[in-house]
Amino acid sequence: MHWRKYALVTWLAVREAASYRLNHILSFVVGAVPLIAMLLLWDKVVGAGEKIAGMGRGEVLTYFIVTRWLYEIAAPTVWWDITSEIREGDLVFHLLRPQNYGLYHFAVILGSKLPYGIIGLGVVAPFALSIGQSWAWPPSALAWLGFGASALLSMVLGYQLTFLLSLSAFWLEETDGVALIADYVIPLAAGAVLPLSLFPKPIAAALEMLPFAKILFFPAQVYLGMVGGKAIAAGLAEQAAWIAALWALNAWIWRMGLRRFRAVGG
Amino acid sequence: MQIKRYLHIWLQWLKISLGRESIFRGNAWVRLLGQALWLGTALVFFETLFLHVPSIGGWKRGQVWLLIAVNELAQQLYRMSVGGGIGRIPNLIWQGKLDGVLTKPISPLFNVAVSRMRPYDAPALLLPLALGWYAMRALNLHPTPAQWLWFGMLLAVGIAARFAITLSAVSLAFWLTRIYALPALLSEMFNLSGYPEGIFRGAARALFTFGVPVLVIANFPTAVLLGWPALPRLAAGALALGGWGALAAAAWRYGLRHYTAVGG
Repeated sequence: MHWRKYALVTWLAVREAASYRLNHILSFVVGAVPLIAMLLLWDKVVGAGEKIAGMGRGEVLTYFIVTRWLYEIAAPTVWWDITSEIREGDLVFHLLRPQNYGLYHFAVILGSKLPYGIIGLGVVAPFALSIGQSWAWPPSALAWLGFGASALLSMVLGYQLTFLLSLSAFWLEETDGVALIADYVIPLAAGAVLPLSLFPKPIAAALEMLPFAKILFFPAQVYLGMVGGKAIAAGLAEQAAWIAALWALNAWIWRMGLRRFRAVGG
Repeated sequence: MQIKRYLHIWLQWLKISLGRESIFRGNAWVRLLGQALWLGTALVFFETLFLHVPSIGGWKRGQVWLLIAVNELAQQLYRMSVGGGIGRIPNLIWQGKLDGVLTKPISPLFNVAVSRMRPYDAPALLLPLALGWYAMRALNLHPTPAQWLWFGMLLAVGIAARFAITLSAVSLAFWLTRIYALPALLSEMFNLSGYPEGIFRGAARALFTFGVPVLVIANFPTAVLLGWPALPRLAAGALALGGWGALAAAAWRYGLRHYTAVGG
């Protein structure tokens, strides 16, 4: 019963997002252009039969298509609705409702990303086809299951980071600086720009310890079968641990933020 | 006479922009940090690739550095001059505020485009200039005055092409609601102009020269500094600019005719 209201919020967000189908298609098509160039670039970097950091041409190209799609549905960002509600005082209306503010926005984001993710599959499918036989499929049922579970957890993890970044509005007049970190640093640390295994070993090891790597790099590794049964279980446990840690951190920051919050509307 | 009038209006907008930006100086610092991060990300990306391969599409390390520098210079000049203004167009349309622009006795496009200049971002130009200087020293390049002239022309063509594509895209706001993500996505797309042209062959080269002319923006000016032929690149760039310019002008004019204010 308690979850029904959040499910309803998600459903309403799905309907709203679905009513802007053309916007989603346009966004994804424009977003797909960089993917064409990225694939052409990697086609030149990794020739047929060559390997780079243990990945063949097909695996590298598949990696970028899979992470591009995942990035669209799970990437952490500064969520404008949250920052504006905090800054403009509209948060007070949410505080009066019998709801958890973090869960409410998770339901909204989930609902808005679902149609986007489905349309996105249609947009990235031609790229997968363009690779032809080089396209890498998960090598086992375990890899499929692991990828599905890690993709779901990466969405939740991505949201915890989104919520964390957005709560900065309690303290900051402008969240542009935080948005810059989300736009430039996180994609690099998550493996959207390069597979982390391409970095020099100490840097790669350090990046893999951060939560960002668990949003894109780890699910892509699972998809490509680059990690086995135990590593998949360990990676999923790490994702869950990061979610729990960020959830606790967010709850603390939320309480601290509420102490500073002053609604000025009338 | 007309040019003098527009120059006067441009100067007035520059003064207004200076005033506005001085209130929000912090934003300029944040943008400077953003440019540094972007440049850093591009360098990390290509430097990591060069750990594994000696060249990318025939482009060596120093040449790619120069390309990154020229690309950032072009992007920064665009953002400082017209990028902020043109990015306002979708919101002006949806909020019905374009009326205020249309009532002025000057070109509405000019008026909007120059309304959000970012003079305080000028220090951010130092980053690509320093990187470009370093790359040219590493490559032992000494361009002639003629090469610099070609470079200037091609840079102007590239910035104008970017303006035309963006105007075509934001003009969709006359018919579509909620394309607010489009300017950001276009910006991401234009980051591709920092990829070396050597990776584009055949149909892909034609697509990225004329269809989505990202090669025109930074690769063509860089190629001239590297001593590669300028005239074919200028011809291709002018053709791409002509096509996109015509499309942008048509979309803007047609959109204005269908514009119905909804603001109050």
